[in-house]
Amino acid sequence: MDMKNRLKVLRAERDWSQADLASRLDVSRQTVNALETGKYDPSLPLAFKIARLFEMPIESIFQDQA
Amino acid sequence: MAAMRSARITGPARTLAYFGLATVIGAALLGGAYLLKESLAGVFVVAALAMAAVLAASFWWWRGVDEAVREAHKAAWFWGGLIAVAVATPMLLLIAAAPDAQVEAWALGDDPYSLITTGVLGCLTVQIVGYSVAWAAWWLKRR
Repeated sequence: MDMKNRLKVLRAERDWSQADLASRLDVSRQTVNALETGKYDPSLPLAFKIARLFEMPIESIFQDQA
Repeated sequence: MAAMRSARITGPARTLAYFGLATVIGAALLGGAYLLKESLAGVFVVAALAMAAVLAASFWWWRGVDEAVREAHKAAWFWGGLIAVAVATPMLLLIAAAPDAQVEAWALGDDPYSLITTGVLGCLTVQIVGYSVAWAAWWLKRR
């Protein structure tokens, strides 16, 4: 199942670099890049952490393409 | 707590620190084994201490890396191991099927010690190469 997300847009709206976002999520910049390009789907705990950081529901950030 | 978190070594620095630790442990092992070469028990004690230290360093490193880094290593473990077996098994079958093959020409020597050492080094080499290729492929696919 392909998953799309709005991470790049949300990050740009806050004027954060990938490194900033990585630091806030406690992951590596490479992981943020893989998430943004949709080539790596986060675990549920990380998806919730992202949702909490952006103060949005998970489904507003991640959409499946089924 | 926040200060502890910010002081934590993360990302590539953590991996570099891990390899640094592993190198120091490896050097200590070699040095210890050399100093104790007359005592087999001493060598075993040094080897056991080094293995415990490497395990502790690996545990420290693994706890600090994020889930994508872990996923890459899990994939490398499976696919790298599979590639290594796929390469090593036909080699083993070829050697077994052709006992007259000049395998000594590839070995470090023709005495039993050298032949066993060559075999162990061969196993390690295919495993490390397979693991590295699979790990790099995982990240390249997700760039």
